[in-house]
Amino acid sequence: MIRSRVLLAEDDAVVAIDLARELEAAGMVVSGMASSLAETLELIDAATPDIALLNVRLRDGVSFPAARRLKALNVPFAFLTSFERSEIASEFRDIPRLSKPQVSSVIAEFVRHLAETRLAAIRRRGPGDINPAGHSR
Amino acid sequence: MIRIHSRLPERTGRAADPGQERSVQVQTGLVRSKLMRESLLMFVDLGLTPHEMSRYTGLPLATIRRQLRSLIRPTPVALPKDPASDPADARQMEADHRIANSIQFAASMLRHESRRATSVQAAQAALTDAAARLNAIARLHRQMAKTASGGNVSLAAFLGPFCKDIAQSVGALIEVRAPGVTLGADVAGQICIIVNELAMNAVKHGRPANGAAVTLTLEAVKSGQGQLTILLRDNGCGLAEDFSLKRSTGLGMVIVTSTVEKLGGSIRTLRGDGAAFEIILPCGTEATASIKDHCHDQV
Repeated sequence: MIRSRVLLAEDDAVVAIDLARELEAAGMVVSGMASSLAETLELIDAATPDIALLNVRLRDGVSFPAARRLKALNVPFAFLTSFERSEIASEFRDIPRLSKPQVSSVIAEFVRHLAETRLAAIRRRGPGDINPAGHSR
Repeated sequence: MIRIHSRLPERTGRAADPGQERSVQVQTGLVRSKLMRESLLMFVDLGLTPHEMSRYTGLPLATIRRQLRSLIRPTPVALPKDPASDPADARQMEADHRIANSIQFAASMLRHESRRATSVQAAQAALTDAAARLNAIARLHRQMAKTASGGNVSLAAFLGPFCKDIAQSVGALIEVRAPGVTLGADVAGQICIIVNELAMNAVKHGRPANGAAVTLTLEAVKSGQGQLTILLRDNGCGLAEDFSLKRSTGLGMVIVTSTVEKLGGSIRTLRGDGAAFEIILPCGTEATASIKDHCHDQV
């Protein structure tokens, strides 16, 4: 079984630790944990994740630049945030938003759904196209 | 003389008895205006001219025109309010975010502790810790609700109610020496969270050998370069020889270090009797201003 690699950007350390455990219990690998936008961008550049979960408000600003990068790389992701839809930049209206507070197992379930959808899409397109954006640049 | 007999009711017919007309209007004013709007919309759809509408309804042309104008004039679209335009809204939004994040934190903390609780004693200790943390969060929310958004507070005054709570819920006394130190309320709140964690640790791990009450002293000094230095020292038996902030697995130290990082500061342990920590933070108000500017740029 392919374990999807998830990037987790969350500024609250306790929430991040709990989520990471929950994601791993749901069969995914947390490839990176970031609490700031700068770290998130670095992690994306170092190795493109399969899936990402972003808090909107990070330590050093909002995560929209990282979201833009993920969108360009075709990485499916979701926001996990206390922000309302109207507070999220309009270019990300199509990105799923999990509103805080949220049960972490529900979050993990949703991320797994994103991962499975992605794998199914890759299977349909064939293995030649497994990394449309390239894993490492 | 030629008289044209129209099949339509005469326009002057109703006006003949103006008194009756008025009372009907008063009684059914609302119904009528709704009915009128709907009929006019239908007429517009059918492509009738105002003259024809006037003829078919028996209403004066001026009334039809007036109604049509109100129908055709676009109703303003309600745009989502810009929170920056209304400070009360911005404040409410801030509070909503704070509450949502606190609840998420509380749930994560409980789950995290539940994974590690392998004995009844461990579970009891974890629940006591959780209650102390929830107390601190509850106090934080009450204090923030009282403080003006983005305003500066006196650290000593802000810490006061927290220290009373900590004496009650944790059982540690806190002495605060921060003469004249003022900083952003959000930073002061985070310092309270740190003090709460370190007080919990002091009671758990470092009770003084002579049986005296656990006491922490907090000294805060603002230095010239826009830095706030906080020294936190307890009267206990000190940190273990091999204690390391980075390797500490307890939730308490995770919360302390991540809170310090969140504020853009640094923390280190100090030598001496009792556990001692030095926390250096960028001056409160400046730190929050830069984060806000950042958000503004990128939204």
